[in-house]
Amino acid sequence: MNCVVCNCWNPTPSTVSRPAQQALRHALGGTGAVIEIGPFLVRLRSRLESVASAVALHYEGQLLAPDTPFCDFHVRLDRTRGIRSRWRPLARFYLDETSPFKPLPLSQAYPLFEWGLNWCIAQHGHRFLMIHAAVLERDGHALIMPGAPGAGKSTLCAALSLSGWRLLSDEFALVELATGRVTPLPRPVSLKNAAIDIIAGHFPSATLGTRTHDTTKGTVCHLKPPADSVERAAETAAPAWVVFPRFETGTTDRLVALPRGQALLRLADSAFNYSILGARGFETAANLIDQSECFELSYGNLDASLGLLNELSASRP
Amino acid sequence: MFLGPQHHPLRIIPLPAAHLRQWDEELVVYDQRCGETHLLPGVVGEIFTLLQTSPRQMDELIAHLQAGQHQDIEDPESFIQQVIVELRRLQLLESDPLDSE
Repeated sequence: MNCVVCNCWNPTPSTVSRPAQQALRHALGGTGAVIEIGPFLVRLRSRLESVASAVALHYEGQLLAPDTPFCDFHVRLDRTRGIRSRWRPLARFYLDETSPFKPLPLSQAYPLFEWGLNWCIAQHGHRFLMIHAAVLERDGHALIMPGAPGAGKSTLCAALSLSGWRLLSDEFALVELATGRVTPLPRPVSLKNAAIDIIAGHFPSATLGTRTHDTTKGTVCHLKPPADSVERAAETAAPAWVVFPRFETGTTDRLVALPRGQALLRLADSAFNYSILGARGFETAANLIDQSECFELSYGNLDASLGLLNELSASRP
Repeated sequence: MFLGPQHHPLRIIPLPAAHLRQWDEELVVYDQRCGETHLLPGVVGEIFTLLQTSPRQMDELIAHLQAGQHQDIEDPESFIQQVIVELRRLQLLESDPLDSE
């Protein structure tokens, strides 16, 4: 099936049954659909069709009963009102009926939900040390890949999650302050621009949503989290590797050991709330580094880098 | 700034053990008063650790450098002075009572 807006590649239809989709739309348009995303419960209200179909596709395994009593975030996404919205329809994100952002074009409503949810978590998830990082798990060991936008972490994250690693998160390493373990936050992986075709080409069975063009990040498309990641959302993992990826066209893929002191400072720079947590933030980050091997990954070829990361996992006793 | 040997011994501020991490040649120090994290590489970390073990005069630090594995440092006195200035700038050294006189 091609996208009706731009005739782009094959947005995968939801596997949610028609009655379930109707129930979801009813909930979204009423008291809200409740989505369980790792340790957070999100109540989402929206009358936007694009949001309903994306939630049906990406979160079908994470929907709870609408009468779930307590939620962490009460979110609404709706079309803006007013005469200007007739010729330039916009979508606005609300948290507790307050809108923290400027509205975006209506076609970007679903990415706006995902970005808004990132903001909600970063603002309120202080029971964790929150690091801007992709996280995957294998044999109980967590691979944490902090990275600035453009470093290639989402592409690597998507590819690893489709080739034997468990997706814990594409955006946040949620490190428990009490235990130092990483809590999963299974959500769709946000792919941008060339990464979309790379993942679609490498993994034809991957479930990708609709492409949204002309966003501030270019073209955006979300990859549905694997069912295994969603089912095992309560299983935390012990940090084992911290890898800072850096994508560079044409570079030779290699992992270079990074001194732990430098790794700690870079990890702190990548954290959303290191300063807010104060000494607990330092101790949690330092303990994480203590039990991890730290590397820089120069990454130019997806298969080569996947090979390096798989070797890392295989070499661990 | 005068750093002569007749001054009070150089002393590191009190820090909880949990706020210091030594990995190979690097020492990381967390200062909870301001929330800053400092990376003290190599000899700088070594001098910091020495001062933390017990307060010392500057000439003791110079002697330590001269006696240790740091033959590559051509001017130990100047080097120690620079380290002390940097540790003071980071406010990791207790203030010298004479400074405020």
